[in-house]
Amino acid sequence: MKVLVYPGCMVLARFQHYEAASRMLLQQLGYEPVPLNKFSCCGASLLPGATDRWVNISAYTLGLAEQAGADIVTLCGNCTNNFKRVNIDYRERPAVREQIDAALGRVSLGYAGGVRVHHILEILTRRTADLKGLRRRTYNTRVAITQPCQVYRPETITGGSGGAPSPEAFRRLLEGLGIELVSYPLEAACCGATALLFDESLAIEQGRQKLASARAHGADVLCAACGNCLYLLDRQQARVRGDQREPRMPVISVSELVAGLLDEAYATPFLSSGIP
Amino acid sequence: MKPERKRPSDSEQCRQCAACLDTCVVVAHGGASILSELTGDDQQGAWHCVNCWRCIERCPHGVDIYDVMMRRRRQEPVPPAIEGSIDRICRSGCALRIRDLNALRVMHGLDRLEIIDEETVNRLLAEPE
Ligand code: SF4
Ligand code: SF4
Repeated sequence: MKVLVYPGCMVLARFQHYEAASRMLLQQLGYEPVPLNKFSCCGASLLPGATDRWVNISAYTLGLAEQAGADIVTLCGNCTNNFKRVNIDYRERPAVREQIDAALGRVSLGYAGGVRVHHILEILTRRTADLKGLRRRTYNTRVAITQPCQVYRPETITGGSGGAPSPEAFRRLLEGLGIELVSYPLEAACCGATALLFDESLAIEQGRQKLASARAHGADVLCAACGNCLYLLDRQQARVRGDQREPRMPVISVSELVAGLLDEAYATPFLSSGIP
Repeated sequence: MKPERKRPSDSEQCRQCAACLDTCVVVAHGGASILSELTGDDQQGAWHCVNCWRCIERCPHGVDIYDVMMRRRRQEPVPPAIEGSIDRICRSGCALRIRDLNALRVMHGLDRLEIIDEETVNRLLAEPE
């Protein structure tokens, strides 16, 4: 099956290793990644508040995927949510469909509504047994998950025909691959990343509580499935940790964590932290 | 001074039951979110959201909080950092500034890619004729 791997602005700009590991896993599982000829933002969480024409920007990537005969695989929660929302609106709201058709027509592109959108987690969770067969090594470390809100909610958008992905499926994926999982009370709490845009103290506090909770319950590593969670918990960790008394907690994307079981070169950021 | 209380319009179907309020991290942090608007506690919260969408799942009356939020955002002042990101999306097709994109991609073994041009973004976002 052909897939168009859509990194989203955050992964495109800052987490190339997440995209590289996702592509490697998709290829190992028999998918055929097609080139993304022109990258365009999905609209993020921002453009929908500025104009109802944001759907045209999302539909542009859906149109490119359809032209390539590919499904879209996303790496962030917000991109997943936006593409799925636009797909539903395109099918169910004639006014939205008309608007998208006209906009894509202006750039010589079309869309017939046929592209399926999967977050990478949905693919990995469906293919746990195959991934298990591809494993070459194990980790000797305790991993905590930070759950990606927008991959799951609202269910009316994320559900689709195959049913919504779930936090439990994320846990089963890692456990099924022999990874020791740590449970902690804030596993499903929002990481706070989006709040950086309007209330930094809220964002930092959300991240601080999450890291502290994972650490207090014995986690050595935090595993994320969204570029925005990675941004707050990894790139902004110095601010989140504040007085720096605690050692840095490695934060790694689900794709790198899983790909590292197949080939350790993909888990570099995690392994370079000294945790085997 | 606290803004005057405002009831949501009937079309928004909110019964002001406040069941959604305790799901909201913005409210828990002492801020105003769209839920503060819906429950009549504040009037300027539509942009203050981490997009966790717990509120939508909690609402017992099926209020489309996403839809209400986006409509109200178009009437409220945009926080400066958000305005900058929106402007960047409209001008460059990407919410973030990226330096040396393809050098970084090649370093990570990824294909080169181009970002959509401003003219295409403008055409996509143009007012319908
Ligand atoms: S989606 Fe926004 S308004 Fe709703 S609970 Fe989350 S932060 Fe609050
Ligand atoms: S949005 Fe729903 S849960 Fe919140 S106050 Fe209105 S009716 Fe109640």
